[in-house]
Amino acid sequence: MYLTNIEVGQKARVVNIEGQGLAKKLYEFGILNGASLQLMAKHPMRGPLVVKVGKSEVALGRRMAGKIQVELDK
Amino acid sequence: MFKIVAIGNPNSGKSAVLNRLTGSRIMVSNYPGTSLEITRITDMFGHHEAELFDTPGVYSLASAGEAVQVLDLIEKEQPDLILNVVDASNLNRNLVLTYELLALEIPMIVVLNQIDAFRKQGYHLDIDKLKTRLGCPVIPFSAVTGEGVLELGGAIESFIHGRPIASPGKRNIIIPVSMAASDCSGNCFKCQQHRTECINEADQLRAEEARQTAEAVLQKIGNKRRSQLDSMQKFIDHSFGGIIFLLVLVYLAFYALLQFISLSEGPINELLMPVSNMLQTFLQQILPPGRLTRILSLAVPEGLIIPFTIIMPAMLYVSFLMSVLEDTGLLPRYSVALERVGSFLGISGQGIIPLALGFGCRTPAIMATRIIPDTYQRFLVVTLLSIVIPCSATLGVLSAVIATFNASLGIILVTMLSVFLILSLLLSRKVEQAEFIYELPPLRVPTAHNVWLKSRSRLAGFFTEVLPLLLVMNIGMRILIDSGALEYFRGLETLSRGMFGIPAEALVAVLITVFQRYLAPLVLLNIAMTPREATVAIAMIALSLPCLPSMVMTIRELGYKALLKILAMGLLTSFAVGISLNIILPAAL
Repeated sequence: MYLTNIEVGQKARVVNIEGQGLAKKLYEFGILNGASLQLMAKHPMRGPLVVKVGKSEVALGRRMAGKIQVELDK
Repeated sequence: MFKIVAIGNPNSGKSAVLNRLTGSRIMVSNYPGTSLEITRITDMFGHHEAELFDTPGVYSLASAGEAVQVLDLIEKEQPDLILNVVDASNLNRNLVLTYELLALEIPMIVVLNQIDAFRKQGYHLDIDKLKTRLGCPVIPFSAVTGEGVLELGGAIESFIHGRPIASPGKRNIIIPVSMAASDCSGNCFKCQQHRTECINEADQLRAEEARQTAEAVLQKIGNKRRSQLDSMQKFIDHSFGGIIFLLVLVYLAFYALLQFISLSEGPINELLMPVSNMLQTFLQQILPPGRLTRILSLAVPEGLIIPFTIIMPAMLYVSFLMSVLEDTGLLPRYSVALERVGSFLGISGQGIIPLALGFGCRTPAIMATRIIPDTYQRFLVVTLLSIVIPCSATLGVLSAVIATFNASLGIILVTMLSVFLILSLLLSRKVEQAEFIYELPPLRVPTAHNVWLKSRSRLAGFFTEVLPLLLVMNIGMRILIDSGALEYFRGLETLSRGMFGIPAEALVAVLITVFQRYLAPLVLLNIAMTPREATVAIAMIALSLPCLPSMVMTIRELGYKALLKILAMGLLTSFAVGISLNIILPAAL
């Protein structure tokens, strides 16, 4: 399941990020394997997603989000 | 000399901390990436002089962006002390960098900034525990209230006096067992691979350590005090209404700008008219009668008064507005809201911030394009800034000339928008869509002090750049008009009328103002033109070449070649606009 598939408000844990360069870039924003995320908003027309990582909010493009595999929190 | 470097995450408040500490005036805003350059300040601590460096924010030392600059600075200057500025509200993320910095083995003080905002979130932070876990001093600080300024100053002073930094615990450097034996410790942050794709074991351990430390020192003691600002942030970030709200805000700001200019012009004119007349009489009296006197007594008052009535109100308004906008944290929200529109045109979401800044002044906006990682994307945004985006001075000029000749504002706006669309679509065909990621800072109420400082420093450009330049250029213009040289251009009448539908004098005016848009009113106001002619001429001027300072900035940021390309495109655009409008527009407007 990818970050783009979950619903606004749901919390999930990152299990894998496709692509080393992307993983590195996301690492700087605190998005790495094992990190907990909450999807805060999906902008219309395939716009960016806003996720909460720890205490900060990060906006990221759909294509990027489509490479982040997550597992929903139970 | 004693050297201190401030390092921290983007938007953690490094510049604000140094401003508080030393009384310096580095520009601070509420969006990640405000400081893109290293700033050097010297200040006294007790009897000792120290050099302080403000650096661009980085999330990690092992990164391809600004981190390279920061590491180079550390290597070159060999600092005696690092001030690690940490945003107290976002400890987990900020501590990753802190653990990286500890590995450099340079004495360090952790400045726990924005502690005032942190306290409103319902947590208690165990400072002593944090000190012990990190193995270096931690000072709670607020650049807003001034808390911690004395402690930090004192700590630095006593360190300069030779007292070592008291470290309550053992310095916590993370070296993974498996890597210690190999060549890579994960702690040098210099290899290309670590900068672009490798996340090594040390990185993972640091991230885990940061998470555990944040968890260990933080204790929930109450509920977050929900403010109106939080609700507003929620509305803007998490709902469709937020996007509409942002767009309505822009519309209102522009509407207010036009109102402000048209309302202020009359009174300012009335106020300055006697000054202008006095100046003219004065010049006529003290100078010997003759041609030069005739020119100067016309050109000097004109060159001084016209900028005040036409350009200053717009610059004043936009400086103020941009200063407020930067401090609120709304700017990155525009990036997110407009990312879709941008990506349709091939502009990355990060490009929206420099484009927005361009409405204030193009020169700093060109520098701000550094937040765009891709070079070609930067070139695209700089091109749009140089040719299309009207800066505050241009806005003032254009609105004044439009009003005088009763030219069509609608046609000019539509033309500018079309050129924006066409240029970005043409240029972006070559690039691959850039990926968009950006941290959204919390919304804040701008402080009056900061808005005042910024507006003032922005407006200073009017007196140091715009005014002197216009005065000199205006004298040059008057000499040209007086010499009758313009008469020679009469021969161009057929060409000018045929291609652009404007009189030859207007074409000359366009050619001159192409090099400096501010000059438009001085030249055009001396010519008689119909609304149609004025509309074409103004559109050609509005979409032409950037001003001198922004050309210099373009060379600095992207090199000569890029500037030449932009200039060529600017000229082409201007002529294409003139020809197209002449064909499209009906004979009488």
